Amino acid sequence: MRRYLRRIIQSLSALLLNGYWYFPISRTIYRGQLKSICSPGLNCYSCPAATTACPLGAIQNFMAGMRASLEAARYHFGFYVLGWLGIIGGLVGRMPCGWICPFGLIQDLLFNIPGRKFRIPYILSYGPYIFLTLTVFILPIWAVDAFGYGLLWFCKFICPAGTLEAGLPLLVLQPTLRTMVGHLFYIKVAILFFFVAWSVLASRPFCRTVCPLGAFYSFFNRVSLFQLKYHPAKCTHCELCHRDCPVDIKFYESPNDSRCIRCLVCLRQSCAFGAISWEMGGPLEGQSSKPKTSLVNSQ
Amino acid sequence: MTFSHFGDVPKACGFPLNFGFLHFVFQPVRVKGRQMRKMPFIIISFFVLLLSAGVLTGEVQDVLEKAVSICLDCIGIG
Repeated sequence: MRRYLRRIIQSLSALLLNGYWYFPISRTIYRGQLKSICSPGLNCYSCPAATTACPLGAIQNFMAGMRASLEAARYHFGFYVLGWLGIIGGLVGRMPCGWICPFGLIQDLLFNIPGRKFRIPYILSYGPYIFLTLTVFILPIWAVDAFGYGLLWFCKFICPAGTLEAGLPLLVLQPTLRTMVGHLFYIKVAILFFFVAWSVLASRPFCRTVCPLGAFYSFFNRVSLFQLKYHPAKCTHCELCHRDCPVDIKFYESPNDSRCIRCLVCLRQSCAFGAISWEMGGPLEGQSSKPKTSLVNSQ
Repeated sequence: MTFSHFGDVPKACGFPLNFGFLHFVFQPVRVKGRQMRKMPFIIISFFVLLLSAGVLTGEVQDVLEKAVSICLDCIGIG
């Protein structure tokens, strides 16, 4: 049970964030008030079952409409979405990636398919920051049409979650949309299949090489209220934490690394020596404290 | 440069910047006899203010309006 706790929470989150199960009958998306709340994970709001808004889509909409908004003296800069994501990041850092994100769950499940596995080169871990800066902020603000509106660059040209959760189901539900399918859709389907195939071969490739939401949360990993703590005196350097880590981090070299998705596999399953614990808010490193190792699996 | 998870004043080690002026921010605070880092609370407070500003300027309605309509861009059709 303890071993499957994260998978259960991931599944429940995916079901709650996609809790509009009336869609096969209504044949359209949910349009209730819950859609004003942003999902903590990547979950396309055009998914027929989605009950919340996608934070990345919402930010891009604000950025794309910023010039028009300023001209209309509305001053909408996306503070609502940025504030919401910042609060989550300030509390737990990248934990939503590991415990809530539905697309993360899909990648985790794909990686469980047996077969030969490959590492992802470290240099690709800079990708999410490039995608965050360019496709979520700079291009939507900078490249605008004659009316002052920009494009949702990440959603339109890259996001495989949108294709999987919204594009394909909507084409099934609404036959009229099929007539609008063009080259772009086929490119996006190819991107989706690329990441599906890569997810079978490597752990969480989309999170580690592309996801701008994870990049945003990663800024908070070292300063969030929730912190993982390393106890060097107890560490035997057995490398089990590194072997089990889904994002290939050596915890003993870099606790609270910006790439860490806080899945807590190292704490809950790998480390049998109590070298990893967690803290909320403190205390400081080097000071005596009673480590919270209650989640550590006593093997 | 060692930040020690921002729980301490960053120590400049061969880095030409002095973060001494951030001493107040990185100084711990004692809550119910327990050392707590200030930084997370400062960050969370800042983003609570940002969220409040967004709510007060009516951004929630903007998010809702976009989210209740099918975004053809998002699904690669538009």
